[in-house]
Amino acid sequence: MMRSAYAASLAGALLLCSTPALAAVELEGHGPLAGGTLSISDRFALRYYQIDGSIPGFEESHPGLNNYVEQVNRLNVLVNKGGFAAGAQIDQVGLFANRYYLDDELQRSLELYEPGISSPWPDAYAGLEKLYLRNKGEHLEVNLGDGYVSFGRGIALNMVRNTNIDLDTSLRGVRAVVRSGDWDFTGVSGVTNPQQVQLDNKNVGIRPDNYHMVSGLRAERFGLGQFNLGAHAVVYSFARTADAGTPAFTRYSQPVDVIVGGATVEGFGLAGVDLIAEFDWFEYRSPDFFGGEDPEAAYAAYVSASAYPGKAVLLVEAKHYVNTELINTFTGTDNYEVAVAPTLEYERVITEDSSAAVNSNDITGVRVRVDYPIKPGVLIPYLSVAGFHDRELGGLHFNQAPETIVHPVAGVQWLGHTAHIIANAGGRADIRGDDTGADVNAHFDLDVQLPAGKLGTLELSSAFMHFVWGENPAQQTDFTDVVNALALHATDKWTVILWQDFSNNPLIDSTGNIAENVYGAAELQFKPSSALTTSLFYGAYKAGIRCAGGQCRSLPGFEGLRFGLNGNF
Amino acid sequence: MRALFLSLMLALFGAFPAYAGDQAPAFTLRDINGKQVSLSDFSDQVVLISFWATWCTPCQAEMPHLQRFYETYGEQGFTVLSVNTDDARSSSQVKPLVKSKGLTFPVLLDRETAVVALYNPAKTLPFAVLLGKDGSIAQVFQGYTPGEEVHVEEAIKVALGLAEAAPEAHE
Repeated sequence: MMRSAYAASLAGALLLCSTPALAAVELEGHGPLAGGTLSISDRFALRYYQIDGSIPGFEESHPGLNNYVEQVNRLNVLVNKGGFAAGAQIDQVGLFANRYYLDDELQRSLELYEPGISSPWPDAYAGLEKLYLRNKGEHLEVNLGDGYVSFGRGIALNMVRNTNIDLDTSLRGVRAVVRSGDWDFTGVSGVTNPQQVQLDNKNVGIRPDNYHMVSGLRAERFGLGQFNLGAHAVVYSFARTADAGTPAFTRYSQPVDVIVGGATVEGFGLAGVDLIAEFDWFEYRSPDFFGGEDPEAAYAAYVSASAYPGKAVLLVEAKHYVNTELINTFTGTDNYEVAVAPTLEYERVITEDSSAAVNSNDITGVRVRVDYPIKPGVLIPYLSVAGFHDRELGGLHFNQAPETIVHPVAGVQWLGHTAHIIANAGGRADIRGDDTGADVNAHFDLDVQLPAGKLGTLELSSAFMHFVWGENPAQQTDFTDVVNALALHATDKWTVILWQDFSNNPLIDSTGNIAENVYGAAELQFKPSSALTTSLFYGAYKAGIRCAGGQCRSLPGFEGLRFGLNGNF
Repeated sequence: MRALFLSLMLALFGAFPAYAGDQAPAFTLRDINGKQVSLSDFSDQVVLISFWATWCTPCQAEMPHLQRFYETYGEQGFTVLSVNTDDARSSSQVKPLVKSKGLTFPVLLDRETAVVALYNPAKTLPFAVLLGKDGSIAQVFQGYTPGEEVHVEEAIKVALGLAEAAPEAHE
């Protein structure tokens, strides 16, 4: 039965591969959606994991013992007509060769899901992950089902997709926006719906969703002179571990855990300055957020100002957050967040240590960035300096005294017609307040694209980081991380990429395939049409923390073979 | 696969798939100056909707080409509608980036990733959709590799009636 399910799944993917890459198709006939459009997009991955292991009682390693195959598919279907849209997302995953028998005795088993997940197959799962109906009129926009929502700068509520780091949590319920003149009113209510199937990462131990209730209102007044004003309120009721598997709507009958109220001001062209400011107050009603102690005060203030004197572009951001990150206490275990304030650090070199400071519960900071376009759009050097005072102690911070963080970065972009250079270099020092030294992180990254004659275009991407610890109770080892990729874009259809990583970071859980700390891989990408990309990867890459847009996630390493497909039909 | 959807559409909505004149989903967003902008504001124009983010390196590489298309074909009824998908926490960086790159086309903020979900649920970036003057989808461009801008420009010229359609432009 499982094999037939797999055959169907693979056949479906192959059918999609062989389908001409149409942008969408028009619906004809006489029904209410006649004249509308049907769009299909699909992402498919087949991964062969190479994992050495050993059998209890046998001392030696057994190459290939833990090898297995994982197949993942995400199918999105969207029917659209004018302002009406109906969409669905079906996620499917299956494992092959995930059990190892010796002399008819089960030696190892990798379970795809935990009890409570409903699936007719022991090693495969398919689910209707997202479903929504949306209607956009001139003054009223309504979304029923899964949707995404963000208020202000995301401090009070920010549930959006960040597929770059394999995060996709929607709010399942209702979202309505009323637009009346210069006013917008947004109301949302629903339960969290995190993706159960990981598209880019390993799928094991899939658990039933633990639903958290989120309801909020936001009012915005636009065009008040040079200002836009906004105010919002959000209430949360979080499920505890013991609530796993309970129906979603039972959360509405449970006590409210947190109330967040906030206001925003946006000003444009105020003496040549654009200004954005937000203040939020958090009222935690449960001691569970404070380890059983009485809830403490919690608030966040954020401001950014940008000015454009002459050729220069100046951006200043400042933040002061107290106990705001605690709002993610009950979703952090599932590796997602319902609200996160701007971190002010957007570089790719955030580490396992520094990510704790970035999301600190007691932090004040400023960042100043100046871009000076020597030739706008072509040659743009910049300088950025961030400074923070992090007063939160313990946990992943590895420090017992407040620390001051200084992070200068300099960079340049040169964007030519057929070539470009993008380079950034900086240093981040976490200076301890108790004379136990500083954690220092030096980093450099480079992306160079050059024409290579008849061969096509060459692109080199490199990122280097060296981290030196100060003193800490759990003394860690200094480490170096390097990621290199050399790509040959032979045409706009074919790309060959050679990957090479190095890491001796003891905090990551992966081993190199070339040497203990050295990883190597090759990838072939083929774009048969502008809307379809396929890729074949063999080798290994390191585990580590990855960031996109100031949001970071620890991702596992990989060794093996991977086939991927990404298409819009 | 098509037969499956044909049956589904017939059963659900009394409609069935064909292969021409695709309609772009409607949307309304705020631009980087806080002004409300709707796709319908650009009716009768050829529109390239370009989705990007500040952290996306290929998006940065593609931008000079988009600016050139906008400057070259703007007077002939073409526009670039740039949709930034940075979420709220990093969106303060968007306008400074636009200014430093000297981009003059409209840049809209899709902080809730609601519009990109309508056009590209996978949210791979960069991603662009070319609309004809009738508002229909002419072509989709997924990702950006060097040299691909040539095909984008060809598709724009075809949509503007400045060139004949090449076979690939129908994909």
